[in-house]
Order: sequence, then C-alpha cells, then structure tokens
Amino acid sequence: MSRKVWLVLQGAAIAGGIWLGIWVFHAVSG
Amino acid sequence: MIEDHGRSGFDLAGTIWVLGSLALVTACITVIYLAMRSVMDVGGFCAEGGPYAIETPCPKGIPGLMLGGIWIGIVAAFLYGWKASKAGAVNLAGLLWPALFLSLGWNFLEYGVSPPFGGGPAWGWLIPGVLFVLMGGLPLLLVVPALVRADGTPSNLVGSALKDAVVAANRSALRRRTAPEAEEPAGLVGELERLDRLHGRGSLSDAEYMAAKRRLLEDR
Repeated sequence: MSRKVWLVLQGAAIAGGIWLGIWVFHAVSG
Repeated sequence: MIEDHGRSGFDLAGTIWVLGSLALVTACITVIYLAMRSVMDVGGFCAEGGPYAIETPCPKGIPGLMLGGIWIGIVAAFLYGWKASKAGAVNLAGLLWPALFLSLGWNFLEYGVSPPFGGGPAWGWLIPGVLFVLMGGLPLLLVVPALVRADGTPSNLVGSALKDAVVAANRSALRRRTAPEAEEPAGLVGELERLDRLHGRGSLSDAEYMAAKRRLLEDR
C-alpha cells in the first residue's frame, strides 16, 4: 500500500480511537 | 536477504492489526486525558477503598479507567509499533509519546491557569504542565522531520536507510553475476554514487555510509 493510503487509513483509525475513548469514558464514568 | 513485507500484495490481517492497535492506543490516551480532567475537577487528588477515611472519593469508575488506559495503552502501543513495521506501514509510534505528554501537559496548564476551585494560578499544576509540554514537545521536534523525510519513520528511519544500502549492495552483487565484465566498473561506480547521494541528503549517517561503502567494496 502507498504511503498516502496508509496515512489516510491511520488517520481514520486515530479518529475512531478518539471516538471510542470518549465513548468508553462516558459509558464507565457517566 | 531483506524481506519487503507488505509492499507487494495486500495483507488484510496485518492491516487490521495495525489499524486496530492504533485505534486502541488512541482510545487509551483519550481515556487517560479525560480521566485526568475529572480528577482535576475534584482538586487533583482522590482515593478509593483502603482502611482510611477518604476526604475526596474518586469520580465513578476513574481509577479503573486510569489503570486500564495506562496498561492497555502500553500493550497496544508496542503491538502497534511491531505490527506497523511488519506491515510496511508509515509508523506513527514515535508520535504516541508526544501525544500523551502534550495532552496531559495541556490539562495541567489549562487547570493551572484557572483552577476549578478558584483563586489564582495553581503553580503545583503549572510547573508539571511546563515539564510535560517539554517532555512531549522536544521529542516531537525530532520525530516530525523524520516522518516528513521520504518514507523515514521515527522507528525505522535508520533501518530504511540501511536497507537502501543493503538492497543497493545486493543489486550490485546480482549484476556482477549476470552482467558482462565490462559493465562492472560502471555498476560499482553507480552504487557508490547512489550511496554518496543518500549520505549527502542525510538519509545515511557517516558511520552507516562508511559501513555500506565498505560492504560494497568488500563484496567485489
């Protein structure tokens, strides 16, 4: 895979991770 | 022989490991960041369990989130670094440390400037804030140029430069076996010039350049 494709996919994974972190935090502490 | 993982053909399982572990470590940093803010909202200290009278109980679930975030995050970070280099992905592992320390440093600075319990600046938070920003920011200054340069990444920058040199040396050896004698000097000169170019633009350090050059000459 090209460098650009890896960067886009990993950018999406980071965005998804942030969303998951916020969701887990509110699910556990809320 | 150097293997070139993941650059030819598509490795679905490897890609899922890379993206999943990156998402997990990002989620852990996010959880730690949010959990830290909720502890700072109650003054910066809290306790749970034990035989003593607790002055400030922790917000619900926070100790578990903190511990889980730290330990799962460490495991996920190592997993990501390993899988990303195995799959030939752009390795962002070098950004994880700055991401953690800059986000926690931001918490210290924000709460230090305007503490939730009122009053002036809280120096007990501002000082660690500055330290955390330095701990996260200084490595970032090293990591970003390495990431921007070619396909060099923080963890495999030296590796990729060495790999270039070894691939060049292998190619030279292959050419010696297959090409007519007359073409040999041009091949060697070409490889030496290529090494020189890599060295000139900083992809190879002095020591790596000398080692690759020696290997190239010894192979003859």
